[in-house]
Amino acid sequence: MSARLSLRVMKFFGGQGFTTDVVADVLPLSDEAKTTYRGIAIPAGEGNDLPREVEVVAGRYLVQAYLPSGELIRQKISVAEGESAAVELRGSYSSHEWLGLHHLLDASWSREAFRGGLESALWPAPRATLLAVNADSKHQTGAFPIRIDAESRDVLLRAIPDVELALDLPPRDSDGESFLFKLDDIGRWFVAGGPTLRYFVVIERSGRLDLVVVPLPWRSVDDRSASAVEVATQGDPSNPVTVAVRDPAFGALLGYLSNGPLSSARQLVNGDSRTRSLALSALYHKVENPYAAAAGAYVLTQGYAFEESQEWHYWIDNLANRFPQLPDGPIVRAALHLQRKYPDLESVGASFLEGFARGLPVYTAVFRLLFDGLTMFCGDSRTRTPALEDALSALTAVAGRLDVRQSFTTIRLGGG
Amino acid sequence: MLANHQGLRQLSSPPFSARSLAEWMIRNLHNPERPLGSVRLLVSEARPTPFRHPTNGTTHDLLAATLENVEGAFDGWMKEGDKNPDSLMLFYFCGHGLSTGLHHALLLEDFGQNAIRPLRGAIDFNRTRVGMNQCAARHQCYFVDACRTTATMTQYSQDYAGEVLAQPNAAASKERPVLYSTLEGEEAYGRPNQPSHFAEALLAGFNGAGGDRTQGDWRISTSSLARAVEAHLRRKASRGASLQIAPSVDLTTFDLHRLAGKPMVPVIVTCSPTDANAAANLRCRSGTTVVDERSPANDAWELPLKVGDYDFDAEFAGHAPYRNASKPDESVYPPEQRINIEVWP
Repeated sequence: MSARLSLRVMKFFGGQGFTTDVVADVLPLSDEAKTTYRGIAIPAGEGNDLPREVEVVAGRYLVQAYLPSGELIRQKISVAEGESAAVELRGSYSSHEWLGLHHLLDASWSREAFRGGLESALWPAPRATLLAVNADSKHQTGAFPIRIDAESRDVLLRAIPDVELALDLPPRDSDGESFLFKLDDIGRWFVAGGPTLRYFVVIERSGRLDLVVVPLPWRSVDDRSASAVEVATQGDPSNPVTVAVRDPAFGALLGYLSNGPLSSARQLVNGDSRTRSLALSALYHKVENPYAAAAGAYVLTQGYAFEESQEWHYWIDNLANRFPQLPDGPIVRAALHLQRKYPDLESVGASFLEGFARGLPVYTAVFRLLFDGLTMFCGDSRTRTPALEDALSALTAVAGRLDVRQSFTTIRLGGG
Repeated sequence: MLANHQGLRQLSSPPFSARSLAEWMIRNLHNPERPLGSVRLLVSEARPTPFRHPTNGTTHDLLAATLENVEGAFDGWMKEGDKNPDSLMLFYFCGHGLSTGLHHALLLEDFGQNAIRPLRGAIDFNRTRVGMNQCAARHQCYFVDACRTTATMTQYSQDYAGEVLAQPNAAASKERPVLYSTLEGEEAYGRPNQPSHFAEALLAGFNGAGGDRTQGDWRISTSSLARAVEAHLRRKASRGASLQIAPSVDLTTFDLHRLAGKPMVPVIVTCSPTDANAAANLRCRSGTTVVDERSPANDAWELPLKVGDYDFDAEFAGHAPYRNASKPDESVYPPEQRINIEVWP
């Protein structure tokens, strides 16, 4: 190889110097440039980040990036022997820079989708509440606050016996239509409550209540610093609630976990050894950030053909065993073991059950693994047990309220 | 007994959609590792019409898509898949759907005929797909071209979204991606008496918009097809990207089809500003050869082009308030190519 491409995506995230990796492909357009480079992680940010350098054969290429929102952006480039060329991809714009990360994850935050005007101003502002629920072994059932018929926040709170904290959140940014709630000062609650707390945000809007799992505290996978978790929504209750994490390594990857572009998340792991290392590193350093470890574990287990005796299989066991407040660990472990040629069905069923008992999974994709797993085990006379059937019955009601578009588990409560 | 259809109207698009895809599969599907073995086609249409085999001309009476008929066809399909773990299983449904969260009912012809058990005429898609784990075929791909309208029926029945065609069991996981036509709760708008947008997107994807050359030759994989479908539906959505987009589930990547040559790619040509389209003669050239051209019209110009490099021109009559402009040497590549010709007064 004798030429070099410098790749990045220009994206505004509110002037805070934030960058996060997205998936890109380098596609050959000329005869001499025959190799396709897929699944390259390149930075998206405001221009103060280092681009991703890729060595290629000299020639003409089409560089394209698939953003977690589904948006495709591309640019043609020619690079000569011994030279380097820079590609700066630009996509559509968010309605505000402070919604830039949410727009990267969800097209509904685009400038085009922003209506403004009298119609949007008619909706009352949403009310956001941060809940911390005790999820230690004595309170495990309390970690699953399924009062799916709750029409209001107060009804929901009365139904959860183990609420350690219920805190009204003022919006950090708003234009009267869109509202951004920022959780960037969680350290004190984490220390006060200990590691067995689980956190949720309840969004109450006109006739609709959404219960959202939020991954607090989130420590950056790169440098272990605290990363803000953002919740964005609008007064109009037909619009979604989106959760984003300001983690350079995982911010966009978490967006790829939602049901649509999971292939891109897999590409990040499969196509780019740097990102595979990242997923493995997150899993290995699970003590620093078990949520990132769970995301890495999910992508590793669902993105690869199963191979026996991988070292990281034991890390998933550790993730399941060491973090009793995290349902995703035992669920991913169960799904992993189910990929074996001759799985120990009894232990797989027990692992699914353990995950269920810990409450709502953090990730929608893991919720789906649990639901499908319980459905399989309850449909089979060899594996069906009363406990599994009770779990499936309870989960089925909640599964009907799941917002399948979101990366983080979001449950619509109330009558509709 | 009164029928209970929940106010859902008969759609005319599904028979056109299903027939189009069946014809395309029989005529064109090329997968050297997994050649086409069989096609089962069931349609519910106002005037039942025999299916004409697109290559040998024979005609076949089609069964209506009632639960009983669908169960029979599904059983036969699954048995075929059990014969060889390397089989590729493709499932396509077009019609009404009801959905809440992870529960998804696909409605058949006899949906709602029994007011007490309206979902007796529906397929519980999620459980059926999970149940397909017990089929030996390792590669399965599902295309669900249905509204995912939230309905009180599934919300209140909770654990019943219709009949389960393959009982789930604790079998080893299979690769079984699903491409959906819409997000939950957003209606897949079919088009009267023509294939749905999703069917059209699939056909365009198989014909080239889903082309991928990573392995040297042009192939259509599950992932590249999903990207093409998503791009197509975003383009067709008249009210912006959120109206109808194409999410997918468990999108593992495997090959579906190989192209004989370079793929055809949808190209969207427009002037910027767009109101100049109404006065612009748009032209596509390959060198000095005119490939295609269009007279002034309000909308953007959509044309299929083979992968390659082209020049695009916008020419205006003398009285038009814009000067001629060009966009030379543009590369056309899947899943779609947008050409914006900037024009100035």
